[in-house]
Amino acid sequence: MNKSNLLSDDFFALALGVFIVLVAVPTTVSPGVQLWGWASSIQEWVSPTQAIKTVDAKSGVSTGASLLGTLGFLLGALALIDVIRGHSAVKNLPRHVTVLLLGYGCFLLGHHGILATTDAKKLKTFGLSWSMGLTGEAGYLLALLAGLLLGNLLPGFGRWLRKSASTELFIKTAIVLVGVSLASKTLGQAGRAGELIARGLAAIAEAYLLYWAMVYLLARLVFKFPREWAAPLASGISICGVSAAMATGSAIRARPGVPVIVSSLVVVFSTIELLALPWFAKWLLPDDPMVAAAWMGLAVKTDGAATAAGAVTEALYQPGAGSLMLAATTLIKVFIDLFIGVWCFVLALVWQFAFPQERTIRPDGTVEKVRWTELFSRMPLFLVGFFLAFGGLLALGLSNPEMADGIKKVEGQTEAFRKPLFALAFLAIGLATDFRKLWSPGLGKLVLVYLVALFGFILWIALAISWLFFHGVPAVAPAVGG
Amino acid sequence: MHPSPSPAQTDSTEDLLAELNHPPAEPMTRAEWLLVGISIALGLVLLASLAWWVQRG
Repeated sequence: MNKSNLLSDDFFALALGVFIVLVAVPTTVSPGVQLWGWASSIQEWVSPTQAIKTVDAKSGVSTGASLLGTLGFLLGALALIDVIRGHSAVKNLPRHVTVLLLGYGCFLLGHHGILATTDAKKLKTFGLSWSMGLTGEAGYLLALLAGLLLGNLLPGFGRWLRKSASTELFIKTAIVLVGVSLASKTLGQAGRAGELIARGLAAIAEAYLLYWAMVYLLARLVFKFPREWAAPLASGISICGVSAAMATGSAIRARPGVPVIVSSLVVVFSTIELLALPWFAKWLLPDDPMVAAAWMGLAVKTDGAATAAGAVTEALYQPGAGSLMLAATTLIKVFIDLFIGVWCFVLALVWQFAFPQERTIRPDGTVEKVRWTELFSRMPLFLVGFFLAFGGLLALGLSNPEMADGIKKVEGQTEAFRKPLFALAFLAIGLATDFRKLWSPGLGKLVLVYLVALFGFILWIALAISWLFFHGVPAVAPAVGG
Repeated sequence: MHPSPSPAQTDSTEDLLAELNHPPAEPMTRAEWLLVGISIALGLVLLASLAWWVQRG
């Protein structure tokens, strides 16, 4: 692994996610010990005093100290990453503090009873006559809105914040923690994990084998794009956005500007999908929550926007405790991501042998060959964390059923970080979305390919496959065997 | 390194986009047809097999 991999957001997401999980794990053997028990768990509220509780009610930590500690931990992590990368942690401190306060603040505000409460009894307790019923995940939408407003109306301030707000770091760390949640929810529901995984495999067939080829043909035959543009565009639109476009660009030795331009377009379109698709899914599929959840994973590009769309969709359906909706969206996205390395290796091989004039030529005149190590160097690292968390806890729970309660508590602890990290990712997505890019001169043709591919077949094939594999699958399965 | 661009084609965003609006003629090669053909065929077979397996279960 080279140095740039070690200093990437991907690596730090793996490290931070695994650290949070490892600190929580002792609870499995000793359920009374919750090392993250002091962290903040945000509750629905109408009076600010109701908003924050500690993860472990018996921790004895005040809410103020809990909130400061939670934000302090995240700030410490961001500062440590700066130090490891050789950046000035002191210089970036105001940026990090602003991003954390904005993201966490939106998340907190989203839990206000008027926005979040779904339970009639709770409404009465709060003294409210109505609520928008969006659950606490309304905070994600507020964070997205705040990011979009700041990024587009105050671009200078938005750019300043973006140096701290890394969508990749926040969302990938959160995805590692989704692994814990998925393991906890799967335990006791015999066969669900295998079933979800098998259904997730369909995503790979769709994204890589069907979408990629169709978008590539569209770009090459209809829009007459050169290969150098068509391949990163096909990966960006069909696989998982930014990372796929960048990895493909590098695999086929495209000029660096090509995948960068494609990626900026993918980010804008993913945000538009995130803003519209969950509501459209709810309207179109009112009784099929798992189809809607899978659809988000298959149709919305970029890890951040897809997982975020899954969270919004889950909030719209409100399936109740033990919902597997977000897990299904994440799992599908993770499966798609998992094969980026393999697909880029295939593309690199094809380009190496079929288009020798486009090989990379070293300064000494020798030709750089595709190496097997490319298969691994392009594999997203955070997926290792996701599978370690998911597989490790699932194996632990299946072999020691008495640990199920402890694993639930591990989930409770990691949720204290997963949810705010999601809110931070929404904020970062908003900040990174520059709608003016759609009007950049010359971008029209790329936008047109994206529109034709997205509305012409990607959305509908994704919907058909989601229906085929997830229709009738309950979002909350009855527990089997306790 | 991508040896094909002409001297007029630099790596700036403006130049890349301008190039895209007037792309050089580059017809589909046999390798590309093979890649997309195998890809689609394999995708359909895999999807059909998985769908059959899931529906059967």
